[in-house]
Amino acid sequence: MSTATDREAALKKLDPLRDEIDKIDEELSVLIQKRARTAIELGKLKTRLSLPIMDLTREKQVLSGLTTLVKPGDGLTLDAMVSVFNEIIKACRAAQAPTKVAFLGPAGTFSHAAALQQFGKLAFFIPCDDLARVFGTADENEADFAVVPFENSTEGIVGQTLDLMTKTGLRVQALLNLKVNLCLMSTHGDAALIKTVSSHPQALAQCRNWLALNMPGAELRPTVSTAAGATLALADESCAVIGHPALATFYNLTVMSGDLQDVRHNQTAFFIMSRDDSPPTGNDRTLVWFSAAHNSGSLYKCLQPLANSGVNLTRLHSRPNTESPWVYLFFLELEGHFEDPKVTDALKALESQTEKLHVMGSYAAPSEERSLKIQTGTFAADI
Amino acid sequence: MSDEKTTGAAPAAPPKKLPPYKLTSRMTHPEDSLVNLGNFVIGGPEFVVMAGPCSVEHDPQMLGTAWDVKISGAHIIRGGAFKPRSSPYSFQGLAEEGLKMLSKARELTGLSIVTEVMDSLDIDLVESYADILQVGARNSQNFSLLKRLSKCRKPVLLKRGLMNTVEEFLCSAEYLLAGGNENVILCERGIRTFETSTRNTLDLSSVLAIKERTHLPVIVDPSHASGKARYVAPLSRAALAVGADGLMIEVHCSPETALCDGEESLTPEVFRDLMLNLRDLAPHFGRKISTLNGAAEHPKTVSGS
Repeated sequence: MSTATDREAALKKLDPLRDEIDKIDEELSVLIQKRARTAIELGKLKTRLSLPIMDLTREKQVLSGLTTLVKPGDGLTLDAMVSVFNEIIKACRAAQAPTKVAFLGPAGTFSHAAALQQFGKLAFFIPCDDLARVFGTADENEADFAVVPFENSTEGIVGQTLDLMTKTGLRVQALLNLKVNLCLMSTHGDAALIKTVSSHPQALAQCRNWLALNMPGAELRPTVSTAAGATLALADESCAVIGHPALATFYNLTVMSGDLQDVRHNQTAFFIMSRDDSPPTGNDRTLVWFSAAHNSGSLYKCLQPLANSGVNLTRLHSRPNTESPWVYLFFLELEGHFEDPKVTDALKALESQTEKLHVMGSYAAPSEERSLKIQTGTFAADI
Repeated sequence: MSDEKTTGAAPAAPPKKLPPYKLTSRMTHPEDSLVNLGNFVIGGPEFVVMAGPCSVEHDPQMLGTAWDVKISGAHIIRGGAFKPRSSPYSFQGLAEEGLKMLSKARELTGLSIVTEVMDSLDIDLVESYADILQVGARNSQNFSLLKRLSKCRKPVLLKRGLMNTVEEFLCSAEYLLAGGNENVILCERGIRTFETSTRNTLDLSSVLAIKERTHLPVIVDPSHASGKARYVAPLSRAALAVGADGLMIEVHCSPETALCDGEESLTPEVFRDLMLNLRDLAPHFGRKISTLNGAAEHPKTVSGS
């Protein structure tokens, strides 16, 4: 009996508590909106001063300020508070910038540098752990753009990007060339203390000669990204990192040496992907992929119609189809926009020769013609 | 140095004094020399196959064939941009335009390029595109060309002249070595005899004679020698068996439309079957074709040729 009345009394207390939570939520919402308005105000000021919207040091300061606010016995642990504030910071940062860009993170990678070059400091950047997530973030509408590495002039094609391109619904919007400038960075800048050099394997490979000459005894430690190398360098003063100079800004490192890459004209091409097509500019490239089985002269039969319609070929790559042996995917870049009648006809002719053809989109030809090893020759149709 | 023992041909008494081809001779360099091309080495256990069209014609042909031979396990793509034709009215090649197409094909496939240089004036141009410079049979005794090539840093593939004895052939190689280029690959491609049933007579026994006398790697070109596509596969197997270090084979993705030597070109399908066959045979002769490691047998296609 008494339990029933207790329950009655407890139930009565429920409503006032709920009311209180509603009131607090109201206050919180007003406060968060106030924070957002202040952030937008701050964003405008940053724009005028051309400072980056994404300021990792400041965001870290905000989060570390929580340590003094959280006391033992509080309802939420520090970790829980940090994750709540992370979401608030992210939302406020997004409110400062209209464009959301996914890239292969963390901050300070070459993909980040490419994204910065394309969208400026004012975009909202979403670092992703792997390429599949970069595509996925934009595919699922959480980002407006995805920045993906496509080809390095010395190390070659990024196969994973090509593989993911066959699975995405995104369109290629732009091609961006980023000159690779690799720097050696550490917390202190004293070369004598360095025993290991950490970085992404491609970055280490691109500096092979420099490392052999200048740091012959150093242990090379490959990491998943240049930024992961920077974290190692932050934690250990005998460790230096090789990467883009942007890393130094984001991780508070000192640049010890610059331009380490063995090949002077080393550059990486990035694709900017989104859900929309870009309109013709008059000097465009179109990217398509198609699949063909390895029969006698199968690639020849696919390329011949292009030559017949006078469309110039600027890139050609092939990837094996992992599911069936002797079947291949080809990635082809050609001159012109896919809306050009000449290109449309050529693609129609190509389609009739292939098992599957997919147009990835068109984009403006890079202004300074890339220093590719391919020399763009015209088809010698007159012989 | 002078008590060099040769294996095999027992009655031939070992020569006491150095032959006229001193640096080329095994007497001065008993162990096999290797020509390193980065991805692989010619003259070692790898049986190196160079394949491609006789001449570079246009992008679709060059890229299509390059990719076909790459998938079939070839190591090097061949193709002529300068063509030494018996008649001045035959197709003479595309010159630099052809070299650009070859370098596009290298970009697509990652294969190295071997291409012919006919004139001293073109050496710098060809060297800037090619990975191996080829000297054709008709230039095999063009000593001024050989002298210029001896100063090149790229390897030279020297074909045996139509009328050259083995000694004359090795003397031609000596021009390259004497000038400082040690990366020389020899190529037996058939000689002129009274026989007319084949285009040239493939002198397979010369591979043995050459191997006995020199440390340089030797490859065989069965396509030019026989002039008939259907003879190429059996002669290729014979070249592997006789101890050649590799092959140079003509492959054209569309032989019936080829501008040059179409009748001796293999289709990509025949070439692929030959390569799979050679891969399986190679271990019996102490060789391997590592480019086809683990490649599945191709499902038989229902195509004509």
